[in-house]
Amino acid sequence: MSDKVTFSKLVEELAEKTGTTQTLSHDFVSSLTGIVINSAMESGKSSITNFGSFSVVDVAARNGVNPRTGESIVIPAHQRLSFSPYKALESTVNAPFAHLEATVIQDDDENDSPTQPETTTKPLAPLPFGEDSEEGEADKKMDDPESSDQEEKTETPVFKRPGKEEEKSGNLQNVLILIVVFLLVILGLWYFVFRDTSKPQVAEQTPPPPIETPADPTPNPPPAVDQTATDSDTPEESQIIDEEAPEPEQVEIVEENVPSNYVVSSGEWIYDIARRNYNQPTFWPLIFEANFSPDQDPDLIIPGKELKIPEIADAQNLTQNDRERLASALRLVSEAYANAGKSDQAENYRRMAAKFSN
Amino acid sequence: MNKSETIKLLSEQLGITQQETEALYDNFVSVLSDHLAADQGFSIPNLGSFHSKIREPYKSYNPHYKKMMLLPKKKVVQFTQSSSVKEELSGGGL
Repeated sequence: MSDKVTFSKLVEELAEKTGTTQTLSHDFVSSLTGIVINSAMESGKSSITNFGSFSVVDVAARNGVNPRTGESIVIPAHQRLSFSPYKALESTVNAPFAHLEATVIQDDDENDSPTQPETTTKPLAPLPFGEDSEEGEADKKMDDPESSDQEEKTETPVFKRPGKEEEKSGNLQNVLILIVVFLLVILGLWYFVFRDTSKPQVAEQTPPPPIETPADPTPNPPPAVDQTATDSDTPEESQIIDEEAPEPEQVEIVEENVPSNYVVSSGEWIYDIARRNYNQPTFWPLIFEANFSPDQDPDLIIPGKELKIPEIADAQNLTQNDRERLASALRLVSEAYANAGKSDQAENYRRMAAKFSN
Repeated sequence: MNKSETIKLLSEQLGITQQETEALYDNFVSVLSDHLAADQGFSIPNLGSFHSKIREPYKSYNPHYKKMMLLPKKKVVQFTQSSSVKEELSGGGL
């Protein structure tokens, strides 16, 4: 059994809290119980607001066993005072377990029968005899709610079967992890792009200071990084515009001449070039294959380098030949990533290549 | 009988103001709740005893979802009527 507080202790506390005498508190409590009992006897129900309500309920006659002699007897129909707590009391008492929610058990009938004995006997068995041990355990848990929570989490799976709810939570976790990983990858890539470009940019942009104040380009990159975290498309464009500003003639000429050759301006990525030329950024391995060897890290390209752009007839409807070219390009990229020590990316592109070659 | 009626009656019986009675009433409830939340049982003479108890998780049919649900572990208040109440009820019932 749990700890007990004596009635006199209760009265003492009440007196202390309200600043009245113990006699008055005692009288108050006994008068209150008197009223509660009388009202229950008269009308069948009564209540102490915010604590609970009492009602007189009928108990039907049932068979029982005389525990001393073992003979079966009939327990006659009688009445009993029953108590049901108010919501306020219920939630105060249940506070340590308030975070737990009911869960749907997915697979019903087949699995139910074998597991049911376990689950039903467990909660029921301790009631008549083993109450001490159970309560003791409960007490220990209640001493600090945090450890009880942990125990709780490890305990419940015993009763749970691998149902929908677990899959659900698992899925949710996976999705969250995926989103986080995705964001990290995007941030990482942009970091690479900016790190590569920021150095040459400073070098390139310091010579023509009359056109742009040197203060301008330097503070620009950090906010651009922030924006990329939220929306991926627009900042790219703004970045490109930024890049085009210092050397507009070069880029414009190149864009008019397309698609055979292309000069990389600083801050650009093969990805962007592929998108501009093919409307299909995922084709960038083709450009990489045509211009670089596998010892080059695909994430780092030198600004100012002239790139050959291999042609693709129709980016929307790939021919078998195109697919094979893509597959081999993807394999090359995978190899390049492997050489650059980026095994994750290498693995990704290897898989993509396999998809295209099928 | 609701709270205000009870308080009115109590204040007459005890000869104190209704404000004082209400303060006593609210504090009494909070004292009881705190003890139950702290896992301490108690008994109130002529009424019965209260204690809190962990109810293990159990399965139950939810008619709204039409599915079996696993209801989580919960701490609940349990009440046992006092013997005086029991006698009074059986005496009144017979």
